[in-house]
Amino acid sequence: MKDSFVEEKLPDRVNMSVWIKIFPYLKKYWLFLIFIIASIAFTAFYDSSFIPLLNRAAFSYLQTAELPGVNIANMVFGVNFFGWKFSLNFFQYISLLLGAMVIRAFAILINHYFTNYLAVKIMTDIRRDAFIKLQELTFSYYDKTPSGWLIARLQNDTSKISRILSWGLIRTIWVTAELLFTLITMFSMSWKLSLVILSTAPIIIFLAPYFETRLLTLSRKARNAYSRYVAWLAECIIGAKTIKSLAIEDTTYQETSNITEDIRKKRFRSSRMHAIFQPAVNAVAVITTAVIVIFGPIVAPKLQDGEIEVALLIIFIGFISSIYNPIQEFADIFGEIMDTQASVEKVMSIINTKPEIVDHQEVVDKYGDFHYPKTENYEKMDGNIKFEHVAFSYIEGVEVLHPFTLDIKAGTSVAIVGETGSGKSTFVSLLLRFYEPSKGRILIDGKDYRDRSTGWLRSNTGFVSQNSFIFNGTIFDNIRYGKLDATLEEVITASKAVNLHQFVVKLPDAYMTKLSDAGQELSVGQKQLISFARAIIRNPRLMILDEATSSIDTETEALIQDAVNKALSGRTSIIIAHRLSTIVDSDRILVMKDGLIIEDGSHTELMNRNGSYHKLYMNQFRELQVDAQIEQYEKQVEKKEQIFD
Amino acid sequence: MKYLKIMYKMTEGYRKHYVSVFVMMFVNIFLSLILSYLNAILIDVLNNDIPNGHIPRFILELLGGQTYLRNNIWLLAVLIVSVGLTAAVIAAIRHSLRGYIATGIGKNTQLKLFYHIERLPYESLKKMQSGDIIQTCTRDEEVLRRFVIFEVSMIVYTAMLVTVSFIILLDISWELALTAIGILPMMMIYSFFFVKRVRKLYRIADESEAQMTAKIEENIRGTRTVKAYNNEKFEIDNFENYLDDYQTKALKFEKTNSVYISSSDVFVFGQITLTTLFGIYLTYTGQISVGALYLGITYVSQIVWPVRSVASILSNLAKAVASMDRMNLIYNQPMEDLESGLKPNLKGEIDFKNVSFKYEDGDELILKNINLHIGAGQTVAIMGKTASGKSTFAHLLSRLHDSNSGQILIDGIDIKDINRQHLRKNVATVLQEPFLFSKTIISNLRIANDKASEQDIQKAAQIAHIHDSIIGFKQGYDTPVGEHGVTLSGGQKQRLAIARTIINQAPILIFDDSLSAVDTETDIQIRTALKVREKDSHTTTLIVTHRVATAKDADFIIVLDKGNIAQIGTHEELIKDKGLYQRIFEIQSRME
Repeated sequence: MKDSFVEEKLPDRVNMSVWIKIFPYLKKYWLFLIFIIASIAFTAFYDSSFIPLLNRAAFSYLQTAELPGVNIANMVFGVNFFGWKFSLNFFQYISLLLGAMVIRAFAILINHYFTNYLAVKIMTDIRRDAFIKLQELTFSYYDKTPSGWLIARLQNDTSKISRILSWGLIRTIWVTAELLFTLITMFSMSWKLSLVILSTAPIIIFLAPYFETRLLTLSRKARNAYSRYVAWLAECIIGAKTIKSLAIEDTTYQETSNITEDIRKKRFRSSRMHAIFQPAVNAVAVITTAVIVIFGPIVAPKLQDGEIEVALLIIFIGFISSIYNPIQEFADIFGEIMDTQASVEKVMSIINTKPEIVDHQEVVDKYGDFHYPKTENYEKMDGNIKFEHVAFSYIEGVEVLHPFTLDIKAGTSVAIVGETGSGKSTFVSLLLRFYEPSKGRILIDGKDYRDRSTGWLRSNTGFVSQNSFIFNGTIFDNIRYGKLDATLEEVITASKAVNLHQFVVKLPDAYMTKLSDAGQELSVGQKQLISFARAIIRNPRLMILDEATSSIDTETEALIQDAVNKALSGRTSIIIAHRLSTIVDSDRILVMKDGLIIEDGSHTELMNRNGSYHKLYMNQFRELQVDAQIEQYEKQVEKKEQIFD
Repeated sequence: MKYLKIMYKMTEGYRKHYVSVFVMMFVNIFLSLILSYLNAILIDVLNNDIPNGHIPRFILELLGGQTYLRNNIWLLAVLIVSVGLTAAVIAAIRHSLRGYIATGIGKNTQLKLFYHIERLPYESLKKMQSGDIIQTCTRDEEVLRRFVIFEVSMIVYTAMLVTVSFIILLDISWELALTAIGILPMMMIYSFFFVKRVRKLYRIADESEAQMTAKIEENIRGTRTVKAYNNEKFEIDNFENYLDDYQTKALKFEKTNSVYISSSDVFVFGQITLTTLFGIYLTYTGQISVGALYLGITYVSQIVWPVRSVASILSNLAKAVASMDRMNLIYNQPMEDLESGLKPNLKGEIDFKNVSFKYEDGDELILKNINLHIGAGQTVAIMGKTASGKSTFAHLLSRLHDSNSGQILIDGIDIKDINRQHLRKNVATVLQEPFLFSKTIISNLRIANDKASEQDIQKAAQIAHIHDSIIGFKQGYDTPVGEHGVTLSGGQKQRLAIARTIINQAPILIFDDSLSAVDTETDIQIRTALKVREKDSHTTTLIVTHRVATAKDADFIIVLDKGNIAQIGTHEELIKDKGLYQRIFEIQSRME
């Protein structure tokens, strides 16, 4: 089991084979990339070449000219543009500066918008692909993969990846361009001074990655400690009643104090590392400045009159940060790549998973797949089910259902009872073709169900599970989920059939009442009634209730029981029940134990047999609240007096 | 004002550090401005220029005058290095100290919130959404911490930087100084309002993303339903709508944000360009030196970025305010008093005198005018239909709820005069829903009494009939339970909860329907084992139950009905009395 709280360690190297898989997502936006690169090129040129060159021209002029001057129109700035020399008067100088500034703003606009455009697009692309894949994957995958893990991958990792594919990439290009332009400009001005600056760069090249990886590790540790705090906090809120009853507030407070101290320590360690990093780089920069101040006047090219060109020294002092910042940035991006690598691996593993249950080609040809079902070829289902020597194992060699043969006539109701792990749920999973039998076959209306599509099977099936699932949307939407083209009338009919209607019409918005947060505003019983309506509206031939009444309070039980009876009438139905009181009227009851059907008969028959069923029934009865006991006794025992006499 | 007070309270214990961070910050700013100054002096010295302003002249005199410096450039280099290194060291100390404060404040706030939440009365806690509480303790705490530490210091930093730079420039040339900050007010106003709009769009996009991720979560959690209803295609098409909505809103935000960034860049670079051009003019006309021109450009480049950030911080104040409001929602709820009150030695005689109870927001009385005497050491069974007030009855004794009227006395002392923790230690309750922490079994058992010895714990586990199951686990008592550990059955959990409660031998023991999850035989064995342990000093025991087999051994039985005591008496008496007890006795004896 993967734990969503604990993060794994940083990878120790960049694994290109991982990254190559993700590049197709970028490829289709190549045109945007070109625009982005062009805009970056201009911005980097402006910052690293244009401004230093123009500043130098102005400073050199002001150093050599006869000052004070009278007419500003007389100013002439000699620009040395990588060997191409030309002069500008003050007005031309102003126009050039302002013009370039406006173009830079435009370049930033394009760069910023397009990069974010990429980020948004790539994220939605990846999410879409992963989402579609999740619809294709079968239960063997879902059972192996905790849903929390899947959710985290689709929510967090996809945005992390899109960030690195957009901003990560663009920053890399940007920083490279900045570094390149700076180097070119520097060397074109004075290679000797350039070498002076570069002499200290190795220190930064060594320092930056060291700090970045240390920082990443430390901040991960801090984050883990914090996750522990959040989990503990949630536990204490849920367990508040227990904490109060035991009067252990001091103990839990002490533990909280320890946990928060742990966070504090780890966070402080990480922030201390952070605090040292920037000043350390600044210190190196300052030393380099001093070196330039001392050696600059000696090694810098002199002006014609033998004077030192002061402007050059100043510009070079400015270059120090233009060299150091990109190196720091590189280290930062590198850290981010390392941080994201695992996310890429996980997300791509989802997208590249192959579903385990697929219809074979002839079936797809005839019935279509879920993207394009050919419903016109679907046969009508009668509802005769036959299990022929069916056995099943999730893991090879560990059989959870031992070979059994079973015949279920159309229109009968069959209940399956037994302890947790007896194989009841597996039985239903096989019938719904969430899994396929490892041995034997399941025939529906005399034909192996693998010879028809899953779409055919499921479009004829109504399914209600223990945790009624409510989708975000209206009550109408939720019922219509069973039949996507149902009209309001059909929805109302279904809702009336399960005793839901009288409740819904009391709501201010009736069927258009919005349900949010998995239907928090409804009681468990009401949610379950919606599930029943959803199943009934399909008018299925086969109805499967998987512990559909287990979590309902006894008060709503009567209402539900009536709904169940209506839902089952005239259909083949399979009911897994935890609460036996709900299935006493079934045509047939199967008792399962350790993957085998050990008893088979009606309620009265099985009670008289005085075997496992009898024992289960009595045990449950004892656990009921007194009012439920009285009610059940009157209904199920006194009326069926023969059981005990 | 009340917000300032909250922020002031948050810094408790770190105020001295907080002030010293600001002092160091000022020194840092000053040193970094000096550093640029030294470069400017260098320029003027090399240029044979006379620097403008009193400060540079003063410094120049201090360093031995223009000519001397020109021949001893190393002196400037040494100065630059020493000022720069000092600044770096101070910055490192300052940032570390700031981290120390931030993490310390974080811890304090977390603890303070926890302390408060833990002491909220059960009834108020029940009314709050646990998700909201967690949000406040995590996200709101973080927003506020960042605000108090980083954003406030960013504002102060910028204010100091602008002021000092402006004063230095003013000393050189008031025209230059004014030009250097000329566009800033406009940029502030522009950014302030534009950022507000950008944030609004951001929130819209963010909400849309939240909906999309909620949809993903819904789909994954509902896979069984999706697949059973073969609605995969519908889900995909539906998800496309969410993707679409998000894309539209996110791109709208990105577009506006990009326009903001690039247009405010015009202000930023405009300010720098303006200073450069006007500075060139001032230099050309001889009003300032080349060094001063350099200084002007450098200072402006240092000022503009922080000013832009401050504008967006200010336009985002609402976020911090909202967080403070949510935090106050918790702080404003009164806490339970766990400290004061009597701590008498209790024997376990209980009296109810005209006790009534109703929930704060309910209209109906849950318990009506209950009068009752239970002698020390007696065992009493309480029976009744669903919602007859059984659990409330039990909760009143340990003051998880407080009665609205009437008096509950233990050994003649009103329980409202007894210290709450002391009372709850003495009125040990095993709740209906067993709750275990995600820890090992031994830590779960020891949590009620950290001084309990290994033997005490094993003894309690034996009495609760769980010892054998525990040693059946591979790691025995060190087996973790809960989310990351073994899955226990409801009965096992309940027996662990019983063991945990009986480690302390309290004079009053309440089973709030908590023996029902164990089977009848175990139930009897647990109760017999408890009797054996008690020997002479009998524990007053209240058992809420629906089992006649459990109730019949009690000294007397109370049958509650709609908040009233409907019947009271021994088993023998009640089975002769026509009523609920007789009926359930009939049924249960027939069903055995």
